Amino acid sequence: MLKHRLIPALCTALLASVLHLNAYAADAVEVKSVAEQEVEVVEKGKKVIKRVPVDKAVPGSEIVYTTTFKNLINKPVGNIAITNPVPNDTVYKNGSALGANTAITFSVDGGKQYATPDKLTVKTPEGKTRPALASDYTHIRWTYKGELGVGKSGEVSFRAVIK
Amino acid sequence: MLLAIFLTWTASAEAAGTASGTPISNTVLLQCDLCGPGGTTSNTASFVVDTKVNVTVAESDGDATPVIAGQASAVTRFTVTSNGNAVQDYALAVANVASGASLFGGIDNFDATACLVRVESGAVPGFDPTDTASFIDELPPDASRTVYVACDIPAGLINSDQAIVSLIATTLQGGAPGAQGAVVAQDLGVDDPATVQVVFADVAGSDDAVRDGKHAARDAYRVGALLSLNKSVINVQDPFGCSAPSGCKIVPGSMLTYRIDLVASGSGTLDDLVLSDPIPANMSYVPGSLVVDGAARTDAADADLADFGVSQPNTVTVSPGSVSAPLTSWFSFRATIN
Repeated sequence: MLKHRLIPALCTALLASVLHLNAYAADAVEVKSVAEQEVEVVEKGKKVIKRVPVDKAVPGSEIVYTTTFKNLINKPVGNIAITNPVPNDTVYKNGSALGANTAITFSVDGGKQYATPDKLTVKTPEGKTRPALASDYTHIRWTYKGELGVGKSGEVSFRAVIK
Repeated sequence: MLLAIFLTWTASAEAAGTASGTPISNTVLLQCDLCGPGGTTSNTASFVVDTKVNVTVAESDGDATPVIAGQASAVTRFTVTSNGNAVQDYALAVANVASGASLFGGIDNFDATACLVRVESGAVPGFDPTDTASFIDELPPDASRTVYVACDIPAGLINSDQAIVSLIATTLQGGAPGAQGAVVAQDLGVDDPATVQVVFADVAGSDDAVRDGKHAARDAYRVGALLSLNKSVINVQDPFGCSAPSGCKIVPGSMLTYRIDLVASGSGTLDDLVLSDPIPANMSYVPGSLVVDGAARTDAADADLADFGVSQPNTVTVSPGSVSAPLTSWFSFRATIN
């Protein structure tokens, strides 16, 4: 009887430790995603472009996705790669991916392989190969150059248009 | 077959755009040396696609509709198309425009009366008693409906008098089939990413403003000559010795006499008039049987302005050219069942 009680208790303890490990690892770098739109507003008699949380989003609307990341631990973090799928029902806007101190690559096969735009190709329904278009991109990857120092943060972004 | 259906669906979905209410979500994955094997995922940034309202009304034939003075229920045709991304109802209203407006080379100088708006039911092509709906019900994205405007034309008008009417479609809420929805209002406040809001994206029409959830187009009724045609079988001669307008057998070898009556009513001239009647399948034209207004015509294309099989293959063609209304005329020919 005692044995039977012990086994579930042991399992729970093990599970808790695994969860704790994961939670600890996840805390090394914090990552946040925000979807915004640009609107034109008049401030002090001048027209300015402002970013606001996604407002009226209809087919054809352009969405600006910004990812911020921050080092939360007491040592530099290396080999940072940020992968962002082009959201469902949207098309990547050509040339819109930005990110200081990053190398930007794209995938046209659902995130299996990544390359710079000039090296990407897709197969046509007729079996021919053609250069990939921005609308073929399924994922975007930013590879951070070097290490992200203690307490430092970074930001990458891209634009997508609702189909 | 499956592929074809899929392609069609994709094409239509893309033209209309992403459907209203579709959630669009984004989650970012960050991998690094100290992020563990699964990396770190971000929050999910998400919002729902709002309702795009965009309706267009178009006049169908690109020309004035010919009418005669005193004509009842003169019909003109429009097409109403949804370019939005949600199922909507549309209210339809017809109005006479102010005198002096011009369209299709004519100037408005009278008003059509007792105008009705009816939506094509799809049961029978053309304006007919099955077309009873006065609003468009549950129109899906990218779909369009034929809309008829039927007006009475006052008596006492003269040639080239013109009435211009405007059809305006107003976007209504969809939802309950058979029930006319309430007028859709645009949400002007701050967006709520979690709720579907309404954005007007329509262009200005002939009698409405840009981004107002409405669109209008105009068509004209012009008084002039009006042509009507009626085709009938006036005699059947069967292989058993019977020859009469009715009662004889319609079997292989029977010979039918077709008569086409033409009535040009009103006044004015109809130019470039060509009447062509293809011989029905499984029938053969009887050579030399062409008659116009009681006088025999040759089958050749010559000065008698009528031929068989020359102007168009296997077709009776009568080309009177310009005719002045009022006028009645007829032609007939015979064909046998193979």
